[in-house]
Amino acid sequence: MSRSKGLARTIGFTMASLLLLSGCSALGSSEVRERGVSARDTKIVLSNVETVSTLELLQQKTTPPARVRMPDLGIDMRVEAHGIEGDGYMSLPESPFVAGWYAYGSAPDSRTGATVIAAHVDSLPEGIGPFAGLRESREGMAITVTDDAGEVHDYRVVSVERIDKDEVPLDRVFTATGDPHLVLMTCGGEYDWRGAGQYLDNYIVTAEKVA
Amino acid sequence: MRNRILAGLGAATLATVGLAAPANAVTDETADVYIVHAFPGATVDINIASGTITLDDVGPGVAAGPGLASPNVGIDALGDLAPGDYNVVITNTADDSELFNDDLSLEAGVSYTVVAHPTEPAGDFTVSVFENQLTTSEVGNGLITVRHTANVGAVSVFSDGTELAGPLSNGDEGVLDVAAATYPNVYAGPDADTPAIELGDVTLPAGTNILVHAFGPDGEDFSAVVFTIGGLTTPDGVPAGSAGLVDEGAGAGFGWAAGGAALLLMVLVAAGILVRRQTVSAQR
Repeated sequence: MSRSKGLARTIGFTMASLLLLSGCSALGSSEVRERGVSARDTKIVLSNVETVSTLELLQQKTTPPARVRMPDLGIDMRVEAHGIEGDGYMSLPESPFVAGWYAYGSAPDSRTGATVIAAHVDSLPEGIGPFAGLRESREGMAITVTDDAGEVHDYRVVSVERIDKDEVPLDRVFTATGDPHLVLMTCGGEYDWRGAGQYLDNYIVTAEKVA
Repeated sequence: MRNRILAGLGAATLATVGLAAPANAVTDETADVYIVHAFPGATVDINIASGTITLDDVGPGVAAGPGLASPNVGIDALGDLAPGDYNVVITNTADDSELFNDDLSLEAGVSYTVVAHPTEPAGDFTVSVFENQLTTSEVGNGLITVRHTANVGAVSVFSDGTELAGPLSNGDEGVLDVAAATYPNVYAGPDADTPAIELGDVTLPAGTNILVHAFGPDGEDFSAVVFTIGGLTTPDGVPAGSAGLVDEGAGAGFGWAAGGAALLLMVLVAAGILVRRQTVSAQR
């Protein structure tokens, strides 16, 4: 054990004094995840982990987002807090010109997880909303979220997906884990004129936090 | 197949930048394990399944598990475990003496916390296994899980003198399924007038389980080891459009799309004419 401690010191890995010697790639990454403990060997050495501070978790407050901007697409919208409707779906502002933040998930200043902001793509009588532009999102585009305290959080688009609503990986989209990131969502794809009167797909723009 | 990745490489890209993490709730087919070290005074090494997962130099106060972040320790290997028996051996780092050696039985779909803590009143090293509750009775609620894992008599949990849970003895847990709110001046003690472990104002977010493990005595002090599991409530979907004004369907055939298609046709025709004219002029 003292050998491991020495190695940890040699490498000088200080982030939470945590050292991964072998096995899975990086902490917090779910790359090449395999089921079953037998599939991978993991050895982790913890030394001098500051643990007194776990009490701080009891007081952790997050700050709701107030505005979302995506200059490349001319998006600049007010954001209000939303939850879940009685039918189990995420509730949204009626107007496609106002975005809704999923308040039962992470916020821009959370330690982990997805800040999810969604808006209607259109409505009658208001017409087509700014999030209709999300289909033009490209990797690398900048997004900023200003929170209620005036703090500006900068993001960069890493992926743009259009997924059949029945197949949206909701656990991934609304995850409370992983590095803090932003997910913008709206509807798109084919509109079901004869059936339920709704779009069949969701656009999902995922952006990593850069500042 | 309508699912398309328009930029980036979707889930693969998300994984490489660490954003493809699943919700914190355990899957139906696998088990999650969180480890809490609440035995004061001994740094330990934890060996799971004959060295498949080893955690060395785990100090008192550490909470480790899948998806956790500082001040806790995130260990993905403790998530998505196949159900079955896992041998767990805990030794004292200082002298390699064995403190615990037993099998941990994991069932699919269950999230566990394995807590090393003292017995009461002897103060011997023991391990308790708890199942973590991952559902709230109502949307908008959160959970406060309180586990008595200290060498002290029965305590109740109070907020500003009002009892929230208890009495709990060593090895017991209480789960509060309550509205997201800030609960002022939360403490544990044998009665409302004798706070033994002071936790301060506790802010409980909706959809989050705050798990509190009593710690002590460390010298004469009592404290708590805390970690959180979020993502307890996920919506069933995001219905984000209602008018069909930006229909992308091929041959939707009716309504607004018909007008859009006609307009598109006119543009195409116009473009075609322009191209032909340019071609003609280039030939001359």
